Amino acid sequence: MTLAALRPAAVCCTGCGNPLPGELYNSGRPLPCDNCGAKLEVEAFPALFRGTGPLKGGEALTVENEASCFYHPHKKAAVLCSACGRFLCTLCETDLAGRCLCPTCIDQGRLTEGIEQLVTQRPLYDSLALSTAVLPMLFFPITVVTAPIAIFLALRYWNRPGSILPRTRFRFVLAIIIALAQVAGWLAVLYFQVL
Amino acid sequence: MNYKKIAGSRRGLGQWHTLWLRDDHLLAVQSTGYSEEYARYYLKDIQAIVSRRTVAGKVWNAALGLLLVLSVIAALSTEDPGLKVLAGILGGTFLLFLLWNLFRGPTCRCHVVTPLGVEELPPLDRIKSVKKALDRLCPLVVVLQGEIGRDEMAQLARAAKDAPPAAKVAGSSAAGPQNAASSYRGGWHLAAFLLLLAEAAVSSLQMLHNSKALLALSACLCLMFAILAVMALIKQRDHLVAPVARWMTWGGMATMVAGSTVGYFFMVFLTIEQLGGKGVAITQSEMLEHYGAIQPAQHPSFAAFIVTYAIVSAAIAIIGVIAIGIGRGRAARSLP
Repeated sequence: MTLAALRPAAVCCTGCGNPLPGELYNSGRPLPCDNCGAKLEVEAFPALFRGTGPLKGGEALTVENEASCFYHPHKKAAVLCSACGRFLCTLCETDLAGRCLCPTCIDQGRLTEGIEQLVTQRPLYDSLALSTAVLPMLFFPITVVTAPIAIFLALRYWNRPGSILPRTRFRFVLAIIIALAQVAGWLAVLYFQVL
Repeated sequence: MNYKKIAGSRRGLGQWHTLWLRDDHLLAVQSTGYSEEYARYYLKDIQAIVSRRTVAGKVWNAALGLLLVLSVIAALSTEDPGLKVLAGILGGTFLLFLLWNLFRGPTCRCHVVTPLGVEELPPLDRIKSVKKALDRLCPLVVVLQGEIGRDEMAQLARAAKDAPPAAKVAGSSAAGPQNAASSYRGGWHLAAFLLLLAEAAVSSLQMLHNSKALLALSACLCLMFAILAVMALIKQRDHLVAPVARWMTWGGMATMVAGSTVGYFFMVFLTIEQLGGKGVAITQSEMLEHYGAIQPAQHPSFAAFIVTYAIVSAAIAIIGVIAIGIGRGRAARSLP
């Protein structure tokens, strides 16, 4: 990477917002900020000194029967959408997780949570089911109601995508076992009471 | 490649944060236990990782050390075997926490700088964890971004001194040089520290001769300090205040809260002791009267508590006053 291709840039102090001197970058030890005196360690990377580059606007059609972008009929097609196969100009293409996607597919992926990179939050139904099975034991009479609810939650959301982090279905299994034990207990109580 | 955890969790109020690494991005996860929120920082976009040292770890060490000392004093001064065991258990717990805090090393706040702004990475709250994370992160970033020498970086940063900054801290407590030139000169802080100093002086007088009047004066000073400290904390959110003064404000608040709590327990137990341990119902006013009549010299643990409280309060107040003074001096010198 040549120095001419880079632009001057500075990281600001996270305490006072003052631009930090270059001596602080990648020094491997904490050094004080000139302005507020806070001790900082800065690990800077080349992206800091790279510009964002010119915006891609899409190339206009020059020949009548040339392939055009699905969304911009007057722009030249440059790539195919990896998901739906539509022609896209450089303005419409989005590189996501190594695939080139069109705006519609990205929107669909976001709504259906089909593209993991677009997931910003997930409910954890396994933890919910386990809590529903375990916490009511502190006040055991209500387990007569909560045990079936815990089993329902575990079975209903068994296949629902959970956390994107490595996680097994252990909590679901544990919730079902505990809730089944509670149900069995209540059935036993009912049986002996009737007898 | 699956996510690999690179930083342990930092627990907040009902939520905890973890940091995970994949081949092309960092994933910051905020979890409540029943849901997770994700923020991705792509390695090709990360411009810098900035860690700023904080005194939180030292404050914890001081607080835990103080509680440990108080537990030891309580264990040594009491005759009751039950209380001795209780004080021993408490002391042991504080010692374990203190050792754990020492083992984890100095604290910091870590931020990731991207072209879109600066975001905090809450799990990276110790220098050790930041270094570990960087050891795993840097090789991957170098593969995606390439490398620039330190001298070249310094040269480009120097050139940028005249250019606009690359990114400002989003939601920073004092984001931007406009705050450096703000009109606030630390008046609330100074008033709070002076009151704390006065409170330390009154506590020292209580050590010599306790009375109802001194007790009332001490309570008034505590209340006034609490009000001024809250005002100072509000001010330091939006204005540039020296970091030492900021922490001393928090330290003063913590000392006052801890002192009031421990003092209240002393008041209850010593009053009960004075009444001969009989189940006598008394009003709060009567309790204050009894408490005012207790002379610390006759109760070693009570005396140790008052001396510790007075020393810590005075130290915090003096450091705070000096920090504000230095800050004012710097501001005066930086004026055109």
